[in-house]
Order: sequence, then structure tokens, then C-alpha cells
Amino acid sequence: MTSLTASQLDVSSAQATAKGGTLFHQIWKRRTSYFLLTPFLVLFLIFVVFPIGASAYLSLTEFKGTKPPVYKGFDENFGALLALDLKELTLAVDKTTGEQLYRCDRKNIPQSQVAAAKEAGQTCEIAYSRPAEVLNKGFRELGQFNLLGKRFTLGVSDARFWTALWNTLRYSLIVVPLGIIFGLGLALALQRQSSVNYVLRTIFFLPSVTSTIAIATIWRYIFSSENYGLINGVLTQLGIAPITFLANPDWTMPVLVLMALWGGMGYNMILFLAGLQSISAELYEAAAIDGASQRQRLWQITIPMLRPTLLYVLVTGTISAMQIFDAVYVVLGSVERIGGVLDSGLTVVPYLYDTGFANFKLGYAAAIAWVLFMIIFGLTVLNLRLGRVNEPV
Amino acid sequence: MVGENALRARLNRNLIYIPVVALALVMLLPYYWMAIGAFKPIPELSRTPPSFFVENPTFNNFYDELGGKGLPEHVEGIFQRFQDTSGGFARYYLNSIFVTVSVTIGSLILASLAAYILAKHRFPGRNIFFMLFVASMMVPWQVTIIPGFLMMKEFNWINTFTALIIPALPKAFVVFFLRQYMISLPDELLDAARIDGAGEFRIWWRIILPLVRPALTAMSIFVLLGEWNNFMWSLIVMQSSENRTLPLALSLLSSTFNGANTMGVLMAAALLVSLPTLVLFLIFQKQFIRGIALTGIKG
Repeated sequence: MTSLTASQLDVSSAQATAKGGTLFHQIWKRRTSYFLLTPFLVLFLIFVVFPIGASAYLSLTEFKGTKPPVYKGFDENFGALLALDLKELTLAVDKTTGEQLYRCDRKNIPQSQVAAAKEAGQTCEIAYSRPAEVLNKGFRELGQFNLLGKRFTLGVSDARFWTALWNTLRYSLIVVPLGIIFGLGLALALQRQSSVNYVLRTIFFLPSVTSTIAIATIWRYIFSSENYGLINGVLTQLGIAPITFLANPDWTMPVLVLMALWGGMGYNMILFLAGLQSISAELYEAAAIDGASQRQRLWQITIPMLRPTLLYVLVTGTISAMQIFDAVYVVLGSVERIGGVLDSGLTVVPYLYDTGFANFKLGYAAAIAWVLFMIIFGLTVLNLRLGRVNEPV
Repeated sequence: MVGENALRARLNRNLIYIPVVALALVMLLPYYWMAIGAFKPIPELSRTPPSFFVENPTFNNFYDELGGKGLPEHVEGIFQRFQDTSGGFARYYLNSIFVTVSVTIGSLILASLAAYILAKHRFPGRNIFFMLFVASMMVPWQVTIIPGFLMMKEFNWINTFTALIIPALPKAFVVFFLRQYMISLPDELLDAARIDGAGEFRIWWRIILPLVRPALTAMSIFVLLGEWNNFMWSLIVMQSSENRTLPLALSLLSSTFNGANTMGVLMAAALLVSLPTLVLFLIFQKQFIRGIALTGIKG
């Protein structure tokens, strides 16, 4: 796809300008062209170009929806979204005695009592001051880490955003590679033309033509915490305690990943099948004559020849994974608030929706959208680099 | 030696079907679960462990004459829900069909005209327009969501079909795709038509469009699936009850329903929502697969 664009882009309009006459004259001569382009162009400018520009402006404003937006500059929203605060944590000391504190089983005790606690079987480690004391006002701790023998805390001003970002990246990083592996595996398994393969391909492709909301609704029912849910019903039958899939922070991500894989691998399979068809049979015949094993043929011919498809699936797959919304909204949304319990399933687009349309922080939401764009853009460039598109295929 | 290898290869090839068929069954499971759920009567819905077969199939989840009267084992079927809208769920069905068909036809007409101009006309600024369309494809649509919503409010389009249809019409990707397809058509064909006195509009409609039919089919499928599933934008601009589309109605049910009694109604609704595209797919399977392989873009 990318190579196609590059080669088609330079279809020159140079001839048109080279033929002489003023620019205005040339435009007048070509008025039919402009006239026929107008319907699309006008709608495109109004509903695509203008909103992109307006969004860029709004992301620099404070705008709560009731009063007109007020221009504040980059720091207002992007600053608040992305601000990090890294501070060193000091050792915690008892305020009255000045004695070093130790943390044993969630309780801080002075050094003198540590030996006793250890004898009681508790594990103790040196205690640090509370992050809230060192972090800037309004910052919440994201995590702590040790470096060069010192203890640091990393604080952020919008913890929900970072949670959403982390969840989105985590989700994409699992879903995209697994989707490629499953899709490619299926394509290789089902590439021969036979009626059985045809039926199987159809089955794997079904989710791609099924309403996403309908699918999410069915999964919600299947993963239902009660015994009438399919999985928990079976688990109970097997004597296993039911799992509250949708109300347990540890399970929300696996559920989302499972749904995405189930829904997406057939789609990838179709793309890989199309890619496989374009590989010339002569290559395989030549390899067979040379005595190449099946594995060699896979790694030396199939995978390298599929590189454009692989790259395409990687790029578009990452883009769409980063934009996940429907599944989060329907499957997790009603458990507590959007994003599931403790925001364990909160991703960037649902957070954008929540910020803009539940909390009416419209300028802030626009900034989130731009951060998303930048990340997607960055990942796309990275993917293209990894795929080395410039190399001749 | 060779024979043994061939035998082993064949065995391997057939062994692969074990995981693939198992996976295929997993693929079908949610569909099966939906289908039986939609026809289970309430006693079977609330049975634990859940039953994998329907013993007494019923249409009560669609329409239950005894529903809504406080009787045990009877709830209102899907067509009795949404009492705030005349026509209820059936109306949402028509809404969804109307919006999907309008956007599909409208966007294809607009895009194919623009694609023809960009592919076959030479005029100053052509490349700039084309680059603008291509560049816009890089921007995730969520970037436009906040201004888009504000514009709909400004235009007084909130809660109207206009808000679902008009902003969805300019699709740069469709222009891009059709242009790539049209560019390979021979210019002589168009010149001959011009000599015969055909206008540009006529050339587009009578010559170009019939020639790019496979591309048009692929794009109609792409747009149609995307619009039938359109959720987030509808959620934002459609707050009234009567103009709801199916995904909105379904997500509303999904978020308000709880308990085994209503799961049958929910599955009936899910079945009705997913059926049209599934049926279309099973009829036009070849075109779907070819279209997806051709475009490689998910709706």
C-alpha cells in the first residue's frame, strides 16, 4: 500500500502549468474539473480539515463547554496531561525520636523493634517517606524504583491518563503480535483450495462482519460473573469457584485481549491469504528441487515474500488497537464507570470520551486526541522503520 | 524414503486440522450461545449450570404477550421494549438501515466523482488536493470528535439523522482507493467519448463507474460495515430516543440489563442487530473477501 502511494504521488500536474497562460487563465480553462470536485471538497473541508484545525486550537484552550474557549497555550492541557515529577525519596524517620523506620508487613516500626518483628516471621525493609510529601502539589505517584542505591518516586498530574495510556500500549503490544501469529498460522493452514478450508475460512471471518456492539454484548453475557454466564457456569460445574471476570482488575485486560483476538484473527487471515496467493509457485518448486525442507521454505520464502502484508497488518493493526473503544464501553463500562473496575480496562479513547462528554472538559479532551495522534504517528513511523520499506521487496 | 516423507507431510497436514477445527469451534461458540440464548425460555436461561441446548424454544424474548404484567417467567420481549419511542426496536432497525444506506450511496457517489477528477483530469492544484486527502488519512478520526460535536450543536443537528449522515460523507480513503483504480483506465476511452460529445459528468457516470465496479463493490462493503457498526459518533450526537440506531439501542439494553431473566431479550436483540450483515456476507461472500483483501482496511 505504501509503495503504491509513493509511486502514484508523483503523477505530475507539471504539464498543466507548463502550457502557458496565466494561472488564472488555466484555472478558468479547467473550471469543469474544479466544479466536479467541489461537492466532495466542500464537505471534506468542512467536516475533516476544519475540525482537525479547530481541534488543534481547542487543545490549547481552557474550554468547559458553557463559556467560550479561552486560549491558554501549550501548558494548559498538554502540560497537565504529560507532566511528570521525579523526586528522590528520603529515608523515613520517627518524628519524635529521630530513629530510622522500617516497614514490616504494611506497618512502619522503629529500628529497635525490627528484630522482634523479624522473629515473629515478618519481612522488613527500610522505610521511605511518603511520596505525597515530596511530589509537587496535585501530583499522584505512578510508581517507585531504585537507581544507584537511591529510591525515586515518579509522580504524574493526570494519573488516569497515564493508566489509560499504559493499558492501551499493553493491550496493543499483546493483541497485534498475537493477531499476526494467529492470522498467519490460519492462512498457512487453510491456504489450499478445498471446500473444508473454505468453510473454515468463512467461520474465522464471521466476526469481521458482525456488529461490534452485538459481539461485545454476547461476550458480556459469556463472561458474566453469575452462574448463568457460560464460563462461570462451566467452572462451577467443575467445582471451581466462579471468577468475576468483569469486576476483577486482573481479568479485564485478558478479557479485552481475548475478544480482540477472537474478532481479529480471521480478518488478518484473509489479508495473509491474499499475500500468499501472490507468491509465485515457481519459487517453491525451485526450493523443492534444491531440497529445502518445509521449515526452510517457510522462513526463506514465505515470510520474506509476505513482508509487505506483514508490515501492512502490523501498521494498521497497531493503529486500530490503539483506538479501541466499543468493547471497553460495552463490556466494562457498566461495571463501575467507563474503563472497568479501578480503571483496569481504561484505554485512551474511552478516557477521551469520558473527559469530553461526561466531564465536559472539551479543551482537555482535544489535547488527549492529539497525544493519541502523536503516539499513533510515532508507532507507525517505528513500524515502517522496523519493516524497512525502502528495501526492494 | 521419498514415499515415507510424503506420507509424513500428509499426516502433518492433516494433524494441523485438530487445533484449527478446535479454534473454529471456539469461533462459533459465541454465535451459538447467542442463538440459543435468544430462543431460551426464562427457566432455561436462569438454569445453573447453563444448558447447551434449548429444550422448549420460544419467541418470548422477541415478543411476549404475557410480558410486563409482573408474571414470573415472563418479561417484555425486545419488540416491547423502548416504549418511549413509537415503533420501538423496529424503528431503530429502520433508522440504522436508512443511515447506513444513505451514507453508503452518498459517500460513494461523492468519492467516485472526486476520484475521477483526480485520476483523469489535469488542472493546477490537483496534487495539492490529492496530498491533502492522503494526509488526512493519517489523522485518527478521534481528533475531529470534539469540534465535530460542537459543530453539530452549532448547526442544530444534534439528535437528527443529518448529524449521522452528512459528516460521514467525505471519506478520503474511498477517494484514494478509487483513484488508484481509475488511473489505470486507458485515456483513449475517455477521449473517444469526448469526441462523441459526452460531457464529463456523463463520462463519469456511464463509462468510468461501470468500469470500476469491483472497486465500487469493495468500497460499498467497507463503508456499509463501518456505518452499520458506527457507535462512538452516534453515541455523541444522538441523545434522543426516537432517532437511535441499533448499536446505541443495544448498548443501552446491555448496560441496563442484569440477571438471567433479561439475557434472552439481550441475545434476541444481538441476533437481530448482527443478522443483516451476516446474511449479506453469506450471500456476497466472494465480493466481501475480495473486497477486504483488496482494501485491507477494517470498517
